[in-house]
Amino acid sequence: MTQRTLSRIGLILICIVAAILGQNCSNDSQSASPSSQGRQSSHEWNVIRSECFQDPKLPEIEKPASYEGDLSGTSIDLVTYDAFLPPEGAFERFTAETGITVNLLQSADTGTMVSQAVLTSGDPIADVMFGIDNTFLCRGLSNNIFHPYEASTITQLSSDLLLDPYHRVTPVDYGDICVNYWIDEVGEEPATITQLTSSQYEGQFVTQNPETSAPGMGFLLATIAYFGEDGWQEFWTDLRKNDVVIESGWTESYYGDFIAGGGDRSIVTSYLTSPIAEFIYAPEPLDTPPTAVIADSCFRSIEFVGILRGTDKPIASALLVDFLTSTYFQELLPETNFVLPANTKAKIPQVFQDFIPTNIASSTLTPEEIDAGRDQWTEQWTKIVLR
Amino acid sequence: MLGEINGLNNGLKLFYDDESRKNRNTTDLRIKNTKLATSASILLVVGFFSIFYFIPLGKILWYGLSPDNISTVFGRSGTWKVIWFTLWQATISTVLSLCVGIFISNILSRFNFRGRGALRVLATIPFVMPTVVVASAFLSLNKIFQLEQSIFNLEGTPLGIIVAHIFFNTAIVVRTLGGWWGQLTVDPECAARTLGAGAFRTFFLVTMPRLKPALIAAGALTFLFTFTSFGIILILGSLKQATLETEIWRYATQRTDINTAAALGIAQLVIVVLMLVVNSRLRNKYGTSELGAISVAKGEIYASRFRKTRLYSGILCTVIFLGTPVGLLVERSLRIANGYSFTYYQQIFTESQSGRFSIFETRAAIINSITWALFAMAIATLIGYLAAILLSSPSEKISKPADVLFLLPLGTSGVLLGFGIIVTLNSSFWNIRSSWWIIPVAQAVLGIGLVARMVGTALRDIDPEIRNAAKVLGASDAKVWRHVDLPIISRSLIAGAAFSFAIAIGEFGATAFLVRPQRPTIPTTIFNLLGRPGASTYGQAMALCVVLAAITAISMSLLDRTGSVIRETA
Repeated sequence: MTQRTLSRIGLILICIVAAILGQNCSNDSQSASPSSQGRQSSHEWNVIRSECFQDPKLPEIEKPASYEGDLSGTSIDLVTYDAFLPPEGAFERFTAETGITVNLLQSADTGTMVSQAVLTSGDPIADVMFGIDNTFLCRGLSNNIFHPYEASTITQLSSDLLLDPYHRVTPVDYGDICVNYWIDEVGEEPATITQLTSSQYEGQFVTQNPETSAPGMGFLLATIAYFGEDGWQEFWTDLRKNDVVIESGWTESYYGDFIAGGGDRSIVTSYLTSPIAEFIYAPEPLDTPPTAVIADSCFRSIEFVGILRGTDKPIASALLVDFLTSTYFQELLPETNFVLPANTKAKIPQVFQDFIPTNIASSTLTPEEIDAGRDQWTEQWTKIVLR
Repeated sequence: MLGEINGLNNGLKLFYDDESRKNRNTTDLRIKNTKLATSASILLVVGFFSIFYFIPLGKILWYGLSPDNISTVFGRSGTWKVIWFTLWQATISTVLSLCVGIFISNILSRFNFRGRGALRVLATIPFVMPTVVVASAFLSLNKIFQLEQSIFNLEGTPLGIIVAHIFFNTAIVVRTLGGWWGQLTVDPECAARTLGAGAFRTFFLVTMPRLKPALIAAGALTFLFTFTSFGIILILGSLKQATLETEIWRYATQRTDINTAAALGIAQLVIVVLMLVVNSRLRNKYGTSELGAISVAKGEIYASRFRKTRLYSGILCTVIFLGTPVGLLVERSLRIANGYSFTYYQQIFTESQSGRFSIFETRAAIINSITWALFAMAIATLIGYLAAILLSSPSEKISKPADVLFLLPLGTSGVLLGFGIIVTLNSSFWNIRSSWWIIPVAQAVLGIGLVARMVGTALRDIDPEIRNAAKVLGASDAKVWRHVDLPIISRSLIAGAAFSFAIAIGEFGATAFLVRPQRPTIPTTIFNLLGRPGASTYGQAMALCVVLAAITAISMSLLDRTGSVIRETA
């Protein structure tokens, strides 16, 4: 066999593989065509921005009156961000009730998960997505990644959280991103966000880069909501003068600079539930949490569940959405994932009732505002704080 | 057989001249079988690479190719600044890693001392530590030694990034170089010293030229790792210092701007291809050692007055540099509120206790990690060996492109490859993009290049005369392979296998950007623990890091042992 034949074999092989995969791609676009709106125009990938709550003109999924029996043995994929922890035994219960097996898939952070879903819009990576939040919601909705379905539990869900009038996503939990402080180390306890720039707390505050961290983004949005679109820049300029430290992620700031991991800073951007986690996971039992939150520093983060458009198991997916928003599942969320249930009928565990502050004034921006402003805000922020 | 071949080997060395080496192809008796093996290798390797690398990456990069997009992205001055920073930090990191690596490999392959195996393993551990943990260790070193205000500040500065890169990549250099160095006979050095050359002269004029092939291979690998480094840049550079890889990540995942990310990906690919072509030229120039043949040499050192001082100071420096961050981890995994204890180790191995949750299935995570890593290692070693045959192929038409192609995955953005796999491997009859085995396969794609490069370097240098001699003495092809090829390539093969294992167990590259079945692994569990507040979870994460280091150390020493068994039984 001469070298020429060898290189020919290689070339032919590449062509065959390319042909097979090309074939597959065209198959996919055909199968997805009824509802697909072809974002993938010829060459470039067009990401659609800021046409968020428009009628998707897709029929809602209707559950047939009786589906008993025909779904047992079905298996559906549920994709979540990587930090999500499934409550023990929860999905086994769903299988026992419906006969449907849930196959949990994990992506990376929420931004990556949404980008993956946008790339595969109409030919989804899973059947249901858990955990898209209000900061990424518009990117998902405007790129048409979800299929509408009105959950049977919808009347029980907190009406503040029902953001999408077309039911493409259903709220599943919420939590706040808040500034935390270590009570014994901070000196006089800060009462408001504006005090963070006072000399009293110079060199005490550590927060995260909004481009690389969800709590970092939450706090930036909280300041934009609090000080207004023209006032937040000044606040951050003052913060910088007050020797704020910026880390790339929550872990580096909380366990690196904050008292909790042996650091020397007593104020950190974290979550409303972090004091409770500190209480539960303390090496020695405590009477009260060692940390507390600044009441007006919070940003409301809402997580949603949605059926991905193009799924071939719409009914099973609809049942899973019902299950995820049911009181049974919702009551398991706080202790595993430290978020609060969207279902108002769900009982909150005692430790959460004891220690969640009641005076929280969380601010929020609409998903459209966030989607429209996000890139320019982070660019401005980078100029003000890092450069 | 062994005695005969070794005898022949030694005999050949005496009568060895460059002419016979250059003309070796004409004298290889196995030419027919080699060709058959080559064509089979081409089929398998090219097929694997097409499906799991070229097509997925091609589809994603296609989005960035429109002229408008290219001109917008490269019209920004920011893009060029990012490219420039990526290039110079990678170059400096590579050069310094090589220096540190030469220093450590010298101790490891030229001195015989107790604990040599342990030191070699210690040099490999940093490579598998989760980036987030190592970066945090560097951040705390910064605080402990109060470097923030000094010029040695490691946070947000290029210095921190470079030091962390050296820490990570020393392992690559030590393994690549050590595998080679350990097989070089000391005769030329002895001759040089006898003739009156000093230690430095001997090193630069005699040792360095013989190390060139391995230096070139190690340099290429280190450059690729530092060029596409992600976690270190993100955490230690906190986006003040952006590289192509972090910008691709930012655009692709946080902004869903696939077009910009793909354009940057194209720039990355172009630079990597250029670098590999230059590297391949260098390899062809210095591809085979100029002095002396390879033998399975014993690690003896020529007599030197400063031998002991040199040895112990070398060991001390190595242990301090590589051991401090690791030691910091161990200390933190043991530290509790009032002293030290093994509490966190107990906690990660016990299931839920009342009142405290242990929601993470550590045992399952350890088993999953090891299984996937072994699987990835098997694929990478097998296909990597075949790829090495192509690399060392006498035909330049095969070896030259192979030289560039196999290493491409190491220089490719993990985000783009991960996204590419998601958008391509999704046909209705073959939906494998989220099946569990795509994880070890994606990890193996990276490992193949490493194995191919490490083994290829050794394979190129096997003297065909030894094979021919064995054939003349009546050995079958299989026997020749077992008793000639395998012992000679064993060190490199083991090193390659060890690294593909390490890449897999540390979960590098594209795996983080795939959609994967939720089965806990050690890195994902560490990540999950570190993502939660509470003093216990932090301690548990540190304890699990130490467990990961221990598993790696054990696997590495087992692999090293396998290597010596292969050599001894040959």
